[in-house]
Amino acid sequence: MKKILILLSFLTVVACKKDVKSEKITESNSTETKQPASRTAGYSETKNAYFGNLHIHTSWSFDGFTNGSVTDPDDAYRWAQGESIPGGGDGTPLQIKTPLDWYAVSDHAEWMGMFKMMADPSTPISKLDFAKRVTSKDQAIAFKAFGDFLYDFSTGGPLSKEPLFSDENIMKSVWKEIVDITENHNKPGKFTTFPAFEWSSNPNTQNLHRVVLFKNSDNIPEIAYSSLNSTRPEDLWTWMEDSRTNGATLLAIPHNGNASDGLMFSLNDSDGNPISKAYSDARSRNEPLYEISQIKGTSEVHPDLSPNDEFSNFEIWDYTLATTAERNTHRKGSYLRQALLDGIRIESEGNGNPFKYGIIGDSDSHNSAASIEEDNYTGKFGMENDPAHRVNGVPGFPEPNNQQIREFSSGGLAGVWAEENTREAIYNAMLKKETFGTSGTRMKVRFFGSFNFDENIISNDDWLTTAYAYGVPMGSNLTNPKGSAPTFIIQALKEANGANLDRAQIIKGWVDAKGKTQEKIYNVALSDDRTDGATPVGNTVDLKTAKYSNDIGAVQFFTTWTDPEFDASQNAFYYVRVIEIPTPRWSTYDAVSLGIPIRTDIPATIQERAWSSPIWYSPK
Amino acid sequence: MKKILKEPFLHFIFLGIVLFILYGLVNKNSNSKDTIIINDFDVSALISKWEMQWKRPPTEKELQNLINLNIKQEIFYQEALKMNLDHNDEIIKRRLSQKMKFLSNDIAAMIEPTDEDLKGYYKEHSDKYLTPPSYSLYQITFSPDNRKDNYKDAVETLKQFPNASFDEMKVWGDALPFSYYFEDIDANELGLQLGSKFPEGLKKVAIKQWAGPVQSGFGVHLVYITEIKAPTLPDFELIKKNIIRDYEYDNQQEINEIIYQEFKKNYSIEIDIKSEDFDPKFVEYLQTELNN
Repeated sequence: MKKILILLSFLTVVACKKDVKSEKITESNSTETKQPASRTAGYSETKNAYFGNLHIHTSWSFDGFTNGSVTDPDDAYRWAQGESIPGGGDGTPLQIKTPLDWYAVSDHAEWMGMFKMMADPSTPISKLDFAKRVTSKDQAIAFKAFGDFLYDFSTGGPLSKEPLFSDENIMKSVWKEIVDITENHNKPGKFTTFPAFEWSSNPNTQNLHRVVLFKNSDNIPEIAYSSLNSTRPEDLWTWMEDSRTNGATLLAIPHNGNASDGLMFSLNDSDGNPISKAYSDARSRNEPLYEISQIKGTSEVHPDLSPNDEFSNFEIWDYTLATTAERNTHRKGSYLRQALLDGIRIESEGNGNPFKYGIIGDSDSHNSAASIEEDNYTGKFGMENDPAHRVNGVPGFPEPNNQQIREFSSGGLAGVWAEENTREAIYNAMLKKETFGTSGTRMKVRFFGSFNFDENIISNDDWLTTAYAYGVPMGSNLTNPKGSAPTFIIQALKEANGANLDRAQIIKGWVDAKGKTQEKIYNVALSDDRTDGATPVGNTVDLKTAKYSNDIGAVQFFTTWTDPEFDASQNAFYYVRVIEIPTPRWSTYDAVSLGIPIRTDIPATIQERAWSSPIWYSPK
Repeated sequence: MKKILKEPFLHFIFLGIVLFILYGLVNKNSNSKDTIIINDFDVSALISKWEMQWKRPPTEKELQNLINLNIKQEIFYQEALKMNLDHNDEIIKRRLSQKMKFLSNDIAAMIEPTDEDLKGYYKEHSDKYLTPPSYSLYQITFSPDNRKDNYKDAVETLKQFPNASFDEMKVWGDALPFSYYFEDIDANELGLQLGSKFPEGLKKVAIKQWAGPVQSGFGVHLVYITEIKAPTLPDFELIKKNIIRDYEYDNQQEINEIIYQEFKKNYSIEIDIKSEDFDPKFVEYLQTELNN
């Protein structure tokens, strides 16, 4: 109690110095956050690539908090715009080298309210007589009010039974506060933010998590939907549909199929029945995108599923969400390429395509900072902010868990092709799947397909306008074949401050005449005048200094490709994978800066990459 | 007597008595049962929470489950408190200290800055709001992809055609997926698009003529800068919203720290390090530093 006295006397001192408002202004000015009628700077008909993250946790998530994060959503948005924020762990602050274009904090919906519910008296208090007492310039009155409040809340006294403190208003206060902070940082044309939360369902430690993202705060639900309400994705979709009926605009993005032990892309619904048309429709309507790469590994493909894909063994994190570092036993149902194949097969059987996913990469950091830059990696959790902890192990952690931390990848990125950096444009691009994912690099990938492209299209300065007019971009459908095979345009530009490119590939999946799924990888562009994809690009990384050079690889790939084995009667999809030259893994940068040997049980160098959303072909 | 002491049944009775006495000593309230009251308020709070989520009232069975869950949690919580499980629990310590931070944040939020406060802050932190220099320029890229020596190509092109028009110059360069012309683009944005070396390089070249080569992430460039706008400080009113946000954020940090320092005055911190592994000077240093 004595401590509270001091706190209050201090409060009163401050209050005497400055004007005190009895009502905190938490409503953001709605005219400022609406999209401006005019176009923002940088607007382009043929679209720009905007890089960001939408899967970010802070100390307001239960596990962010318990694992040492000391920052909140406000700090997270500041970090993304280039400010330095506290890091927790060893105390090193966090700062990104190149700021991001957009960001969305998506704290876990579970227990979201409990953290600030009791401790945050701001909104409900301000409506009460109590507010006047606590902000009174009479020290004695202010002191007594505050003391009463704290005492009653710890003992279940009268104030704690005050409906305003315990009703739904306070239950939703944290969610509302997150939404308000998000609104405050949204600057159309400069930096875009989205309200979001994570629905963290993991039945039997099998990960079914989804980030739920809102286009804006218009008619946003008063409280987030948590897995305490239901662990079934079908129920989440129903809640999303209800929210839409109430005027909200939202979508969901699943992640970490690799930690689901076959459940993420299961061929059955939650009741164990085979996927129906209705299920496919609900899933694809609510979930346009999938997060292919993040700190807990990449889930494009596993070497066991695609043994002929020489680039499949990339940052695989093969664990379930059990705290005992348990391994997965099922590959099928855990990786996206398999799901894309299953999706077109199910569609060809007349049950719709449940896995019609566009692609993004993301972070899943629990320390406010997305930690996407390989040479500026600060870990997933606050406690990993100390490089010695993430490489040598966190003191007191069992070795298998420390190995899980070493196998964490640095954060990935979502690339979005949008006309301008606004909520409207970026959200619509996500809905249309005109997105690509990267393992953290900011390379830019374009991908168009058409039955109408002239093969010389790319020699024209104005090719982009033509490509949009006569073809479809990544994430779209191709139909109406004109007796010929489709032609695709592939363009990839290296990250401005990053590594050169090794190759661009088209990955084709299709359903053959017998109804079986097939896949094939075509190298459509190779750097350094190579003609055989089997020839590796080389490796310039100096493991003593963790430096590489761009003496190998290409700045840009720009080419067209026509499917040589096209069969107009077969369902198919095509996506692009662009691979960089080898660069040091974060653990190698850490080993060099710590002056310790590079571990041999994790790769010393990696080939970062980007994946475009697919273009689907169906016969009708 | 010895025989009695060896009798297992008596051992059992004896142990029973000892345990009973011990239990009585430890748990003086063993006879009075604790009470958990579920009143109208609790039940309607559970119902309204449910309704908020599901847009319908819970069924009788659902409500019963909710109440059971709550009672279970409360009983475990109470028993844990009796066993002092909350003591020295790192998570609980962190949680409570976070709650204190929330409280101090709320205190900070009650103080509404005046325009005078904001203008002072704006003045003091003007470097934070200064816009970067902005450029209007043409650029011709010489990419290393299809050239033996792109730097040399750029140098020679400039030497040969120092007065070329843009259209004439363009044919000597390579097409990359960004614009030949940037209008009024700020240095940060240029850095994002072409790499951080590019705006740095621009600082060193003459304007209103072809100049370079300037290095970027994609090769080297010949540039023709038509205009440079110096950094400016935007009008207070234009960025007032940002200033309020930053002011409140800084204020929060400041008040957190002040409150911490206030509390800290009530504690004397003693360093009790006896091990000779630690330098006594370091211990002495800690002792004085931590009490300041």
